[in-house]
Amino acid sequence: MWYTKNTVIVFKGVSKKYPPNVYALKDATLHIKPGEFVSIVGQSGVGKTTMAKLITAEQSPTKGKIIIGGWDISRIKNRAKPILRRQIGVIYQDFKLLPRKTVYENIAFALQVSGFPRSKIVKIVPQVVKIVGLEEKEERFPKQLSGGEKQRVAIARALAHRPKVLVADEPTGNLDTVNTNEIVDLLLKINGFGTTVVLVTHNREVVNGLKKRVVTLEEGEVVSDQAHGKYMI
Amino acid sequence: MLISFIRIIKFAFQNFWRNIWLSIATLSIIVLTLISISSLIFVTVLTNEAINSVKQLVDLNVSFKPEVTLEEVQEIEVSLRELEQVSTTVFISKTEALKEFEAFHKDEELIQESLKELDENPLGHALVVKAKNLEDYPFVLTFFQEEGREDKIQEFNKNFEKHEVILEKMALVTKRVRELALAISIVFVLIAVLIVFNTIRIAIYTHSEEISIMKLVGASNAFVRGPFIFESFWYAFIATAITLALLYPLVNVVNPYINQFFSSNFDLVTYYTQNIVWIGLYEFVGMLLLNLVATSVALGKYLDV
Ligand SMILES: Nc1ncnc2c1ncn2[C@@H]1O[C@H](COP(=O)(O)OP(=O)(O)OP(=O)(O)O)[C@@H](O)[C@H]1O
Ligand SMILES: [Mg+2]
Repeated sequence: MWYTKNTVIVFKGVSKKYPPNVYALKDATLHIKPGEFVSIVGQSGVGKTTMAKLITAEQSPTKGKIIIGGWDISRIKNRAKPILRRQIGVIYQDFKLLPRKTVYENIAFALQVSGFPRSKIVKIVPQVVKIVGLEEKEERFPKQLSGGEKQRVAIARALAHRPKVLVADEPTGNLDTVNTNEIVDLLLKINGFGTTVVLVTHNREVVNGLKKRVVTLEEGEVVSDQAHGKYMI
Repeated sequence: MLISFIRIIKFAFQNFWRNIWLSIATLSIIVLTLISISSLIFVTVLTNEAINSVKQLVDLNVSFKPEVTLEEVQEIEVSLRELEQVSTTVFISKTEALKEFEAFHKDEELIQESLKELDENPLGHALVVKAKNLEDYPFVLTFFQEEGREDKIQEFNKNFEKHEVILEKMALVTKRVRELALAISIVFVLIAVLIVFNTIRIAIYTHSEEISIMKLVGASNAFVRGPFIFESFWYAFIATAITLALLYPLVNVVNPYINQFFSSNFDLVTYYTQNIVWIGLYEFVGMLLLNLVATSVALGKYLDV
């Protein structure tokens, strides 16, 4: 078995049932090592987003165990969720930026919630803004940005507290090819820093171009898991 | 801790300014509600004042026989004041009584003539008694009818008896007016509470998306709630201040009409300036509690992410 103790994300026989009776995941088992870049693929409605939401504790498993960085979050308390989320970066298809905060404030917010002092915030924010290449646009509001730029702000925000894991649920779903490639390149760059990246995607070209590990879901089950996989369906 | 607190206040003000139209709309509703509540307070005060001013017209005027001495009358006055039904007593001496009598009949020559012919004051001392309630007059009357007192009395000027039927009706009407005012107030306050409650809910609903985003980037419930709680406080404070400021000219405009209506010296502007602190404080505290409850209830379901 390729599984080692050295894992950052573990799904152990995880099932997720939505009321009234939809099984979005069925007995899914998955181990992800630190520094890996894993693509989760599959048709619509097979449970990819559910998997991402289980990692961030937006949903809790009906059965099974989920362990993030050695922490069993299967029955995580509401009070502990913020602590988990400050260690995971998440980006979404719809960006989820705070509409009434500027680029700078959106990124700073992720640090403010965990009580970072101002002195650190004014150092970190320009650093991550530079990584995503938005130096000139710090004072803009989200509605003054293109889709690609918004997603880069979301990535910068996700990076701000140096998470061990970055979960990206269809981050390129709303973007054209040029922007998609830029975002994927950014994810690779972040992975290059040592961050584990979990990428949920539909995009065949992206997956095939990556030549990284691919986990394929079908009706809530993990049907294939290949180290240098291709988009199969 | 302190740094979070400062950030929460900063976010609250940012929220306020960056949603200025929503803020103004919410604030206007709260101000309008407070003005309506204040008007209700004024109407209640005026109703009470109207009832009181009618009551003021009613009294029991007891004239003693001319031979009854000052000491005797004063003794009666003292025991009269010990009755809990009695609100005030006014002593009128013989001389004063005569002066009043003369003044009252100054155009009637015949009476003036006959008064001049008398060397001695034909009048006795008198007491004017006001009871606390209209219903108490019969009891006060029995006090004077007791042994040892009745034979000292020349006559009762029982204007309460003259008006008995009217007074009975008045008492009934005032009771009904009070009940009605109470019922209207309750309905009114309920409506006000519902309106404010919903206004706050809508204001928070427009932030529901933001709230879930904040939770997803790791904000604790307290951190998300903080600015909204502070905004509740701020809304209640600003709205009360605006209301008090707006009421002043309003009260001044209606005051002349009210003065015309009340022959007594009740003055709404004076009442307002004397009670502004209490009115403001009650309205602020009431609105704050309402806002806080509405905010907490409205936030509850969006925080569950
Ligand atoms: N909150 C929910 N309540 C009930 N059913 C849900 C809920 N969220 C998802 N589902 C159902 O669970 C199944 C898996 O949904 P999920 O969002 O994980 O799919 P997905 O693989 O992300 O699909 P897509 O590629 O279209 O985003 C679907 O059948 C969906 O209808
Ligand atoms: Mg999905």
